[in-house]
Amino acid sequence: MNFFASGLNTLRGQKGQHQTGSETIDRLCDRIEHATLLEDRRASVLTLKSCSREHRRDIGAKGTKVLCKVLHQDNADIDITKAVLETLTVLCQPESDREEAQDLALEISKAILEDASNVAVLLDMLEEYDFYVRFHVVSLLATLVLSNTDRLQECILTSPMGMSRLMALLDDRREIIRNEGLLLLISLTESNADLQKIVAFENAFERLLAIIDEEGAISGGIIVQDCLQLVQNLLRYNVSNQNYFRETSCIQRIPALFNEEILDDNGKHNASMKDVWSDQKGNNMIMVLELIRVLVVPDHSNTTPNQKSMYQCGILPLLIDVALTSNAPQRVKASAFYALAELIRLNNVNQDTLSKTVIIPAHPPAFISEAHNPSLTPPSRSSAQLSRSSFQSGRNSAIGGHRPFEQRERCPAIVEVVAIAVGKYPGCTYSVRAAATCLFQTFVLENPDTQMVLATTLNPPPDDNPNTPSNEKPQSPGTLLLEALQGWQEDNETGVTDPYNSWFATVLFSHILQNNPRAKSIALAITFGDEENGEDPVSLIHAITAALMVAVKGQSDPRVALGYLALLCVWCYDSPKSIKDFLSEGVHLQFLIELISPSSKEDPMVQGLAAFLLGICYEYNWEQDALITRATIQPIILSRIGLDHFAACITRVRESKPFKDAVPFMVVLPSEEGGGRLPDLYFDYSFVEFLKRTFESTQKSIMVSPNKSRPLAGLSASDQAETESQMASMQAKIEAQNSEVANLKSGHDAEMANLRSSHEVEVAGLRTRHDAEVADLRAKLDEAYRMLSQQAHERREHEAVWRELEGLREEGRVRQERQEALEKEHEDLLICLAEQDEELSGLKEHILALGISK
Amino acid sequence: MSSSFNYDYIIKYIIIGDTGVGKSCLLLQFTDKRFQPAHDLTIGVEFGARFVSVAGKQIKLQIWDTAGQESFRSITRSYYRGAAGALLVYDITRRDTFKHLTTWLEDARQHANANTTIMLIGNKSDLESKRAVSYEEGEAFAKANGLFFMETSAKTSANVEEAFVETATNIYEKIQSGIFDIHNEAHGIKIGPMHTGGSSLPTGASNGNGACCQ
Repeated sequence: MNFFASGLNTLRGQKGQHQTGSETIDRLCDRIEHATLLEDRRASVLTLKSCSREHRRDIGAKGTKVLCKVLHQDNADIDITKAVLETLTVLCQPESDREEAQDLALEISKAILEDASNVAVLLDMLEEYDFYVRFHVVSLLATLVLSNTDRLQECILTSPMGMSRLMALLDDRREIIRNEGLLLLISLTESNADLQKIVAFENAFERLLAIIDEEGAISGGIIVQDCLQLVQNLLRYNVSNQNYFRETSCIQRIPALFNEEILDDNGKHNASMKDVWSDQKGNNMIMVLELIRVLVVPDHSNTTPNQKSMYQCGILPLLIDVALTSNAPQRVKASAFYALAELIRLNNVNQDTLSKTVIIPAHPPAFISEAHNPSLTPPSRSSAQLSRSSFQSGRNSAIGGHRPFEQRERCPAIVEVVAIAVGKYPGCTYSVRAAATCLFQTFVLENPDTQMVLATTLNPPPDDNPNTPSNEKPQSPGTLLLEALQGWQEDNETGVTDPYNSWFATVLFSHILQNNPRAKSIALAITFGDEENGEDPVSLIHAITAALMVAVKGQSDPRVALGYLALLCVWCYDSPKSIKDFLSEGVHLQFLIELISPSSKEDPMVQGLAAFLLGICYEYNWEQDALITRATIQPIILSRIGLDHFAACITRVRESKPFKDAVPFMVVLPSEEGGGRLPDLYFDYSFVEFLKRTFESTQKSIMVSPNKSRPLAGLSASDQAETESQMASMQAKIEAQNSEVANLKSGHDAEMANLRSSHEVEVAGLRTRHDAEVADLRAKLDEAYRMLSQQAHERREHEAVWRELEGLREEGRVRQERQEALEKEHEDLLICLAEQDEELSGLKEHILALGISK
Repeated sequence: MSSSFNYDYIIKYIIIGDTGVGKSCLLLQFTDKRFQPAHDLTIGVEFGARFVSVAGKQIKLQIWDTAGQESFRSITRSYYRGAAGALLVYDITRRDTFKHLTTWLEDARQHANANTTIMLIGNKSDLESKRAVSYEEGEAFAKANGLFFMETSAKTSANVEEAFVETATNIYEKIQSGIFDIHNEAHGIKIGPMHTGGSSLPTGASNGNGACCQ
């Protein structure tokens, strides 16, 4: 007891004189630092602790370093250690929310963390078994991580044994320490990838899954939620840990998390607790579902192998159970829908499994009418009688027609998904409906065959199938959609109009038709109205347009019109046949033009979509015998509406907030609904992407002359589909022929082989005979050759003689010629001689004459 | 049930050594059987896994490849204690990486379990013309410090398989002789769910709730 007395003395002052708090603290710190007796130091620390709440600032400024020093020096003494830890924890926790207090706490924690060895010594203390030491170390670290996460993480990383000591907290049998340790690990691993890896290395997944098992899986307490939170921290954004999770077969352990074997006091299974959902169980389940989502994030390289593993270990049916057959709260179901959506996304095997699943659906949640707000009461609909009858004929709405506690009929899982999405159960929240819509979207995503199948269900199943004695009207996804497409109008039972009833149906319907010409042609063939009763059959696209017109004229919520318009845009896009049908009623064009015209008072987003639809009706209006042709539409847009206004309409919708706010996974936050509020959901993200992708070319196409023939490259998808189906049938034919050819060929080959062998014998016989003949002939031939060469030799001799003769003859001829020339010369000379003789005689006579005359 | 369930033991390895000696390439050659000449610098720690067969037992190796850079040293030290095997790698063409072995070994001795099997690896044995550390020197160092020794080439895959398997064999022998406490996972060994057990070995539970399945 002497330490207590001395502590009091210190406070009082030795001579009973009054001391200020600050002086006392100075003195205490001095003693803690310099007292030689452990007891003195201990007493001073205890005193300091007792006044730590009142004098935070003074103790923080003077005592922090001193106290840390005690941790290094005196940690063998449990009492002093506990006191120091407690004091430091108090100092690092802000006294209040005031900024001043926060700053002070931050400053003190910075001072502690400045020296990493302080953290090292704290971690070393975790080797100590004493409850309070361990508890206070964890508390202090938890306080420090809140104020200065980064620095604490750094310090822990420099301590090689640090993380494994922290992980050892999870093995502590004393729950408080284990739970506090868990919370500390959660804070530490939120952002630091290195720490995440080390924690994973220390077998975190094993240990956490074991704790979860022990605590009763999802039926367990908040500790299960914390464990799952830590698992998620380790996996989210950490590819290396995700690989490790899969490599260590942890995915196979996920199904066990769904177990809810609750043992009663006698250790027997308590089945009555199954499917009873406490808040905590709901939280735990959502964490499990989030864990699954972390592992199958869209477009991640790990997603495909993880989807496969999850399929193999049976996670898919578990998720379907939670989403569709359990009594889980709606927030849990919404989460299960999203997890399912990502699990089947772009994975044919998983998509097929969902489409084959048949379930007994859970009872829909009760409808709470007080959630409704007077603003949702039906709008006056004086002019709204238009063409309702045709759409509803023969179809009584089945909305809300359920009695509880009655076993429900088995139905395909996807039918229940559609029923929830389109609002067949008024008690479903918008969050759940958005989530179910999201699941439906990934169900048909890049899966044209599924789109086709769903389109064919637009034709109602037979009412009186003798094999299924049924109280409920048989439903298919298509009939549910058709019912809901006019669901914005007054609900028979609740008397409330919900624009989302038709809106979700239009989104689902768009996903069935998107980029699928064959689904579009099936939908085009659907008609209403009984001809036998004298009603004119009305095609589905007309019925939808009629509903759109009623909605606009009745000034209902813009979501209704936006839903219908978006559906018509998707339907008509790249589908001349659909456009032809849509425009075959002249009033439809008129209606669109009125909506868009500058004087229209309609919601700008509705105007924008109407303009986009009109643009599509021009761009793809290629049917030859259409009632309204491109030549009719272009002048209307250019002159009556004006190209600038037309473009402005589309721009306005693109720049509207709901359009920009659309997110890839359709989400309605619980905060967005309730109290009669409607969520801010106006556009489906895939429609937003579709519009962004195509509006430019649609806008530009208006300027293209209506007479210009259809661009070759723009061969419409419907034609392409036809060609494709033709090609497919031809390909089948070719394949059949190929196999026939192969058959024939093999027969032929056998025959050939047969023939060849018999042939060979024959040929061999022939060949020997032939060889003999050949040899004979060859001998004769040789003889002939010899004779021939002899003859040739003789001929060559003849030729030589001949050539010689020829030479002689030639020589003779030359001589003769020469002789002749000589003879001629001789003759000439003779003539010349004669002439000279004559001249000579003439001269002689002349001389004679001269001589005579002389 | 997935094949990844069928193991007798899981053994944890770490790979340590100077930066650029080819630790990541050794791991890649072992797990993927390929060589990547321009491997990115390892940041912190990376993970790889592969099955090997030792004495007829399926052994799953979980391998943590650490960054060699000094700045990551403090992080990588956290991995020593939980590993049953360590591959200590140097580069036979760079003498300094051989000189640093002492520091690495001190680190390992200080932070790792005393029974951890350490295999000394002289990597890049394909670059004989640039060799700066002889085989005998490496062997002598290993002998002096009680390590196993091998020269490997992550490029040609020479001895890579052998290095990992021989380490596993040694650890398996230690398990058989009871040196390792296989129920303490901090020793880097875990018994598989299908483990039938050596005659003398008690088999531990894999689901962690303390039940026995012998």
